[in-house]
Order: sequence, then C-alpha cells, then structure tokens
Amino acid sequence: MRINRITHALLGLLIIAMASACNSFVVENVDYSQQLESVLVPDENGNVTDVRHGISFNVNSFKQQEFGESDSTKQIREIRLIRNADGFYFITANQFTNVYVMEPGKGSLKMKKKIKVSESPLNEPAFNLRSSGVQLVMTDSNEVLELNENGIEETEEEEQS
Amino acid sequence: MKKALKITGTILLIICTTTAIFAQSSDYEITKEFETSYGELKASIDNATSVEEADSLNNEVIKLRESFAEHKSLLDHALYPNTFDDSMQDLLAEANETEEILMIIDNQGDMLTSLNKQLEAYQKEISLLNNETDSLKTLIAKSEESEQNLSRLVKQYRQRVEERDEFVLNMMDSLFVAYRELDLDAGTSKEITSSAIAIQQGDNPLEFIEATIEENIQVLKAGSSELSTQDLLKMHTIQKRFAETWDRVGSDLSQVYGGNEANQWRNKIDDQLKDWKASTSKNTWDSINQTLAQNNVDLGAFDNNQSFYSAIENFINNSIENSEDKIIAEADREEFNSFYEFWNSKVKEEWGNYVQEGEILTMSQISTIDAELINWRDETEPVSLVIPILLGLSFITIVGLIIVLARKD
Repeated sequence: MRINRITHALLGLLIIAMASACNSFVVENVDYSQQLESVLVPDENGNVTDVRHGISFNVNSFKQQEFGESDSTKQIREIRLIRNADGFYFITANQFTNVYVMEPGKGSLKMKKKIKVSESPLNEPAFNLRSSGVQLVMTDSNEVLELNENGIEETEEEEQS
Repeated sequence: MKKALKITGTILLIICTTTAIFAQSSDYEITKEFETSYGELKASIDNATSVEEADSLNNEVIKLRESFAEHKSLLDHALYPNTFDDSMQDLLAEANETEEILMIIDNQGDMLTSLNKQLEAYQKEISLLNNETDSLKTLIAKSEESEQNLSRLVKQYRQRVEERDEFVLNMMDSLFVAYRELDLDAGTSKEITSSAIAIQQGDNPLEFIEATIEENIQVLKAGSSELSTQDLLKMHTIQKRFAETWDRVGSDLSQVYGGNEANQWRNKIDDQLKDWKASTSKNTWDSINQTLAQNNVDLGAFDNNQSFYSAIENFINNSIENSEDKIIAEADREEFNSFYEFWNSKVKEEWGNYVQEGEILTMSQISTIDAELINWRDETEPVSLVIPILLGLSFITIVGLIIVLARKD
C-alpha cells in the first residue's frame, strides 16, 4: 500500500516535471532587429501605428516623460523608433534630449533605459541599425552615437582616448 | 521648353539631394530620397514628349542606379516586397519603352505630316473639282434651260408653222393679185406705191417675208434633231411653195415695197430662200436616211429627189435579182418585209401628202415603185413543189402503162 503511494507520488512528480519542461520551451538566437527606423506621425489622440512592423501605441506618455505635465506647448510631430537585435525599442523625437529604450511586455512597453543624448533639444535625429547596434545620428551636427539598451556605447576612439 | 526645364530641375534636385543625404548618413532619409527621386524620375518618364527627353531620362535612371547601388541592401529592405534591382529594372524598362514609343510617335508624326500634306493637296483638288462641278452644273442648267427653250420653240413652230406660213403665202398671193389688178399702164409709180401701202396698212411685207424665212432657217439650225421627218417634209413643202410664190411675185413686190432698195430686197430674199432650201433639203434627206436605218433598209447615198428615187429603184432591182435564183429566200423575204413596211406605213401613209406636194417622189415614180415591189414580193414568195411532183408522178404512171401494154403485145 505504501509502495503504491510512493509510486503515485513519483508519477505525479514525473508529470509535473514534464509539464514544467514543456512550459520552458525557448528558441534561442532570435534577431528582432529592424533594419530601417520607422518614422510615425501621431494622430489627433497621439496614437501611432507601424503597420509594417506590427506595433501601435500612444505617444502622450513619451511627451509627458520628456517635456513634463506642465508643458503643453510642445508637440510631437513625428516619432522615430527602431528595434535592436535583442528586441528593445529605441524611441526619440524632434526636440527630445533623450532616447527611450523600451522593452515590450504583455500589451505594454516598459522603459528599460532613458539615455540622455544631448543637452540641447535634438534637431532632426535619426536612427540607423548597424552590425554594432543602434546608431543615433544627429543630422545637424553630423554627430553619431552608438547606443544599446544600457546606454551610450563608448566608441573605439573614445576608448583609446 | 517648360517641360525640359522641369526635367532638368528634377535631375538637379536628384543630384543635390543624394549628395546631401549621403553626408547625413540617415538610412531613413536615404530611402526617402531614393523613393522621391525614383518617383520624380518615373513621372518625368511618363510625361516625356520627345525622343531626346526620353534618352536623357534613360541616362538619369542609370545614374540613379549607380548613385544608390551602395545602399542596395538597405533599399531592398525599405522597398520590400520589391527589391532595389527590380525597381531600377522596371524604371529602366519603362524609360526604354517610352523612348521607343516616342520614336514611333516621332516617325508617325512625320508620316502624319506627309499625310496632312497629301490631304491638303486632295482638299485643294476636291475644291477645284467642286468648282468645276458647280460650273458644269451651271452649264447643265443652262443647257437644260436651252433644251427646254428649244423644245418650246419646236412645239411653237409645229403649232404655228402651218397657219403662219399659209398666212404668208396667202398674203403673198393676195398682194400679187392686188398688184395685178392695178392698172399699171394707167397709173404712175406714185399711185402704185400708194395703193400698195394701202394694202399693207403700215407694215412692209418684204420685212415680214424676210423674218418668216429667217425664223425657219433659225429653227432648222437650232433644233433640227428635235424635228421629225414629217415636220421636215412639211417644211420642205412649204419652202417649195414659198419659193414658187416668190418667183411669181417677188420681183413686183420688191419693186413696190422695196422703194429705192428694190434690187437689194429681191437679192436678199433670193439668198435667204436658197439658204432655207439648202438647209431644209439637207435636214430632210438626213432624216429620211435615219428613218430607213431604223427600219433596217440600206438604200445607199441620196441627197435629192432624183437620187432618192434612183436609190429606191436600184435597191429593189438588186434585191429582185438576188432573189431570182433562190428556192428558199428567207433573208430576202425579211428584207422585202422591212422595205415594204417602210414604203407603205412611212412613205405612202405618214408622209404621203408632203412626198407628193413637195415632189420628193412624183405619182408616176410612186406607181413604178409599187409595181416593182409586186415583182419583188413574187420573187421572195416560197416556191410550191406540189405541181412538179404531180407532173413527175403522172409521167412515171404513163411510162409504166406504155411498158405494160407493150409486153402484152
């Protein structure tokens, strides 16, 4: 009788182990990278949709985050986003001083990092995707920053210096 | 010109923007500028109007491809599901096709110009022909009008010819009688003249005679084809009577009514009468000849009453001679019937009065021809073989009987 109970317990454990094994099925080396940045124009409610890459969200949160609650004069004419190989979204816009690194969640974008890229508001920024990662091009100054989800990467020149 | 400037502007814009964009190194801007340049170049190709323009744009497509070739992978991604190569290939094909179409249009334009020139020439020709047609229509209208006038004239002539000519002849006779009743021996020329004036009551009869003859001559000149043979024979007869009367009274009438110009009047009317006679005679004989031809009778040439009679006689005698030796003379019979029909229905019945009165044929000549016609008819009658056969049979029977009787003996 006791043997039966032990057997049943072992079988139960086996089933639980198998089930848990099934739940942890993971595909490795997924590349989420988006080759070309998306430049999206918000509608009157601040919603943007990238049909090609299948994402839709509201930019008002970024506006508040960037300009604060009080400043209603600032408007986002268009927002730029690009996704790196790890799946993080890099988002910025004209007049922003930051690049927001957002991690997709279940029906949400969660800020992973807010990268301060300039002291003055950006003028016509642009993202490029390179093998090294995401580039932020500041077209007015021709300055290029290499970014990852953790912040600005130091360039070789900087490292050398 | 405006279009060329626009295209040049587009090309310059493409060159400037691509140069500027590459300095910025924004992938998004590069793709946008590629799409803009591509779109503008495509629009220019679509709107190209000359071969030179299309050729220039063709080169620009090649330049665009060369300029953006280094961003091929980026553009492949941006243009998905299309590719950079496919897009450039399409644009190049479109440019080539446009150039070919424009070349065809250019050639067709030349052909069109040539055709337009031809058309212009044809239009001129048509215009010319229309003018000619109008002229001809006018002429036809005039001709029709003239024809109608002629028919009216002939109709009027037919209605008036007898009564008027009779009137003139009677007038001439009465003038002649009145003139003869004058006592020429007793009166002076002054008295004669005053009496003549009283008869004529205002008009000069010589002028009236002259006008009548002239009118007849004009009718013959204008519408002889409208006049039937019977009309002409009638005119021939009247002309003959006219001439006879004039011969009798002409000299005296001229003297009385011609005044100082008596001889001139006499000669003038004599000449007119000769013309009238010649004209009437010619038209009459021509018309008779035509009627004979219509009746399939060929008498040969004749142009006066004597030669007409001789022609008839010769024709009948020859026909009789031809028929004499023939047992079956079907063709001769037909020829006889044609002439017999012409002779009886036309010459004797329809024209009879005028033929005699106008002395086309005399009564004696007509009788002779009638007699010859009977001979001709006999010659063309089918020969009956019954009597010769009966005679032959009788002869054979007699010979047979003689032979039988001789054997019995």
